[in-house]
Amino acid sequence: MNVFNQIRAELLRMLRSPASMIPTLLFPIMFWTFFGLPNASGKINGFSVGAYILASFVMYSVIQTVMFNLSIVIATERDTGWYKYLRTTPARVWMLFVAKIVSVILLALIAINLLIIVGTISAGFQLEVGKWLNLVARAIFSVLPFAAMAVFIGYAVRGVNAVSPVVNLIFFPMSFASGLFIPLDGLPKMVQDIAPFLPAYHGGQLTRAAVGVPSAAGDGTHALWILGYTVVFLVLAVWAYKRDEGANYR
Amino acid sequence: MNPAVELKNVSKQFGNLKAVNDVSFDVASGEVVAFLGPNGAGKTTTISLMLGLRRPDSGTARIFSQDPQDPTARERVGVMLQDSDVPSTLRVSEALALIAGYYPKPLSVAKALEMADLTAKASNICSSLSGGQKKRLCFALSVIGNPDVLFLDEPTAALDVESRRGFWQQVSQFAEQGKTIILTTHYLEEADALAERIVVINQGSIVAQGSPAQIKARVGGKIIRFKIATPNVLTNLAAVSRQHQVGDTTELYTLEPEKVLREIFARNLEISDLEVRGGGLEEAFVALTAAKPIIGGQA
Repeated sequence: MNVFNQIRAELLRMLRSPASMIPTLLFPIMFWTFFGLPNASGKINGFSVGAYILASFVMYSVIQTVMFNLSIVIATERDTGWYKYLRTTPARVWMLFVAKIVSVILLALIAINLLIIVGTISAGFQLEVGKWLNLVARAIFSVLPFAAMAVFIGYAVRGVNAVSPVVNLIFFPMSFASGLFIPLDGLPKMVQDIAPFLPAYHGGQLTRAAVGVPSAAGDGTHALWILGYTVVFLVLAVWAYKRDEGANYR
Repeated sequence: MNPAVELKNVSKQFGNLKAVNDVSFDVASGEVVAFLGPNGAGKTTTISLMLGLRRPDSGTARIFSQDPQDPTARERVGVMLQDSDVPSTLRVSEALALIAGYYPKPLSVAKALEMADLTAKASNICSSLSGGQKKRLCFALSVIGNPDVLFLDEPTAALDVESRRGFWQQVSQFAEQGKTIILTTHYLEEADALAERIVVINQGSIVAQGSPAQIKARVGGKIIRFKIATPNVLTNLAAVSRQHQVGDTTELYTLEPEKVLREIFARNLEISDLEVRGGGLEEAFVALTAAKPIIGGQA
């Protein structure tokens, strides 16, 4: 099937690019080693602190993988002729798009599973299969608004070199302010007030709930926030995509 | 028989620029046609309209009587775009296999590699290829689907003379299989080497078309260049379309260099560093657009 070939090609493209692989695979493990592991022992209110931190880092990892890789792939294609060439072939435009999304999700699965393996082994706790699968599934669900945001940035920002700074500017402050690196209790009051309006905050609540940490407002509420943000960024992504189409293919 | 490619009264405007202005023509199946014109003439836009990469503001484009955006039309089309590039992290053979998968009856990867003289580079990462090799890969990608119509947009721009000739040979071999080929170029020599019909395009309109011989007669201008101490004596030279002074060097533009030289020698003028070169197409197009269009030599 063509779509599988295209997905394979997209995956190979990312796996062979050190600029993509180092942040995707190494950064989460590095941050875990620096900031997570030293605090990962012990239990609070019956749940493992290590699992709490690991679930936060899984959310961080999945956002980073999807946002950077997807926005850069899209911006690169707009800058180069390869995509234009693909559009002269019988390949369907929707299929090319699906291949990009699926390949990035597959890459995210690799990144977060690797992080979970390294995290559980290094901190010396175990994650039951059910919790593991639940964590991965929730992380992928929670990344949907970020996938849409990445598509929006990829089409809205001019020039591939501008994409990384833009993503960094959004992604790092948001991850901090959502309590993915440091628990919210340790952050200023103002940040604590803003956090519940950020999609990464709700993603963190959902992934931590998978490993037994009760979520702040209940899974359903957090999931609704995720879906709401997904819709908002999908609308923006479609707008930016159409604008790009109009400029290059009309 | 239906034409392979057909444009009917096609126009395309970008802002204030009329990139393509009411262009109509057919390309018969099996024909090799070259679009010749200076940079910015509208060649690439015309190709984009034929390919369905862009939509005409008015008029229609058809490939085998189908909308060019229709995937079944695209199954019969191979393309080498001017600004095409290669997927940087795929191997040459991987890129070809990927594209082959989109076509119903593709060539084998080995065959496409052979046609583009790239067999030795099959397992190289595309980004490691040289400029000329990348162009050859783009050619291999354009033929891998075993298309009935091949579009080549400025295929040899930025290639050295030797690679250019090698490329012409590859294209000719493909044409011999009865394929339709449409190429754009700003080299008259290239159009002459490959095409049965040349369509000259300038400022979005067809200004001339005909056999290579007919077109060459019109745009085959030459530049005579030399140094002369007293350029003011060069008056009333017959057959000189334009005279140009660059420092102490004089340039004469003409369609009949022999006649002009004969006159210069007859007048016993003291000249040095004499040089006769093919005139730039830009020059020729000025002449062509000013003159009445010639149409002829069509099958």
